[in-house]
Order: sequence, then structure tokens, then C-alpha cells
Amino acid sequence: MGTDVFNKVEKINSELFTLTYGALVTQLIKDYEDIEQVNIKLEQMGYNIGIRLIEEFLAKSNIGRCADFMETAEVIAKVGFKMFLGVTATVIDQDPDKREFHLILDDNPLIDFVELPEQYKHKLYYSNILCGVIRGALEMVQMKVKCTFMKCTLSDETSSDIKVVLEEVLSDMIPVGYD
Amino acid sequence: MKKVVCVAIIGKGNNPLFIQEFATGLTDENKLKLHYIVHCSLDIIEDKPGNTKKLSSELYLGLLYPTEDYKVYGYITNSKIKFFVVVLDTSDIKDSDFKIFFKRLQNLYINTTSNPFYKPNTKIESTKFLQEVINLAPSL
Repeated sequence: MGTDVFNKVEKINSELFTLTYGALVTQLIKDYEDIEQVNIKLEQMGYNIGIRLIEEFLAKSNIGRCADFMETAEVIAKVGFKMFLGVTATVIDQDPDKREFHLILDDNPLIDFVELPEQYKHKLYYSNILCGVIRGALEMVQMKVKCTFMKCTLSDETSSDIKVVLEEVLSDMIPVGYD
Repeated sequence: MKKVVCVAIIGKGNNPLFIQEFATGLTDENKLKLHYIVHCSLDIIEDKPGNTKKLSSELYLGLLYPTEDYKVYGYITNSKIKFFVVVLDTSDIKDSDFKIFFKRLQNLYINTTSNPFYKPNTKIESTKFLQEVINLAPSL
């Protein structure tokens, strides 16, 4: 499923992509100096990407409404990530209430070549843009989620772990993006 | 017996970017000597006729500088980044093997410079790069 969609979308050189993102993050660090601000900014950028990206995702993947939040998780991990990043994620730690899951990224094209300097480890979430993308995209399909980086391979941790918590399902009646 | 004694990368303005010794039990004096040898090799590259003018597609420079204990082989990229390998005088290594080694070394260097947190033309302090070079060295 994910592979089919992946074959359909346009591709760019992965090094161009990785280096562009790297330049973006380092520029943000230079501009803001405060790492916490950089994390927030990356998330906001991701959000703005996500609310647009969902349209393309829905158009190309032909995926209908998910039955529950866990199906959403699988779709993000197997189709969403595959379509835009060319990799798949693993869903773990689903809680019984079906309101929370963790995405494990084994392979993340954003962090190719990157080695975090010591002073940024455990502070900077380099790929925080992904959190924003997930939040933005899900908000457009009436799911308000909280998305946080729990672990990052760049900070010497074993895997990249994104936690997604469903906060509320927005009613269909509210105009999209109107809080 | 380890053959590779030292690997060095020298930048465009002849500033050292990376020097790593491999032989165990080197004294400070010996290390200094290695640095000295690398510097001498730099002069030899500068003196090579035609090197400054034409951009040769052949990046491998071959044997640059034989001393009593060591031999120095060099490689220069079109952007004037120089790679050196100092090997023991007794080792007998084919040119084709050197070419492969330098090509790999250059690839490691490229990956390191692609790190957005690395400032180009400054000393390489990446531990990942160091580890990869250490892994690469015995392949020669």
C-alpha cells in the first residue's frame, strides 16, 4: 500500500533534501540561540506543512476514514511516512484506551550525515518538524493530537521515538482550522 | 603488523583538517615527526609541475615522499583538499589499492562535511568520522 503511493509521488534527491533541512535547522539555531525556541519553531513549521500535506495525502492514497485511532497510527506509519519520506515507522505501545501510541523511526532521512554537537544533545529535537507535520495533518481530519519527541538517535539514544496522544476528536461541525 | 601509520587531511589553504596516527606507543616526538613528514609532502604537491594549472581528472598523486621509515602517498581533490596516508617503508601496497582507499576516505570526508553542524574548512572533531577512519585503516 505505502509502496504503491510512494511510486506515484514525485521524488527529489535525498541529499538535497537532507542538506536543505540541515541548513534550515542550523539557521534557526543561529537566529534564535535558545534551543527550546528552535524546537517550538520547527514544530510550528511542521504544522504549517502538515495542514497542507494532508490534502495531497488524501488525494493520492485514496484512504477513507479510519475506524479508530489505532488505524490512523498504522496509516501514518506505513503510508504517510512511506509516501513523503520513503521510510516506514513502527507503531508500538498502543494503550488500551486507543488514545496514545509511539512511532519508532528506524531510518530517518532527515538525519543522514548529522552529528549533534555535545551541547545540543538531549535538548534539540532535530527532527521536531515531523511532530508538527503529524499534528497539522491530523488536525485537518478532525483529530487534535499532542505530538512529542521522546527519544532521538542523534542524542545517543537507541531509536527515534515520537509519542502521539489523542486529545480530542473535533466535531465535524466546526469549520476546519477554526479554534 | 599495521601498515598505515598516519592519515591526514589538509584543507585548501594548507590548514590541517584532520591528522590521526595509528601506530601504538608513539612518543610525542614521533607524532611531531609525522606531522613534519605530512608538511614536507605538502611542499612536494605544490612543486608538482602542472598541478596548479590544469585540473586533472586523476586525483591520485602516487608516492610523494619516501623517508627512511615511511612512505607518503597523496590524493588531491579538484577543490584542493589533500589527503595523505603515511605507511611503513616495508609495506608493499599496490597503487590500485591506494586508489580504492583514498576514494573511500574521500567519501567519509564528504559525509562529514555534509553534517550541517560542521563548519567547512575547520578542524574535523567528529568522533564518528574518527571511528570510521580507524575502521577503514586496516583495509589497506
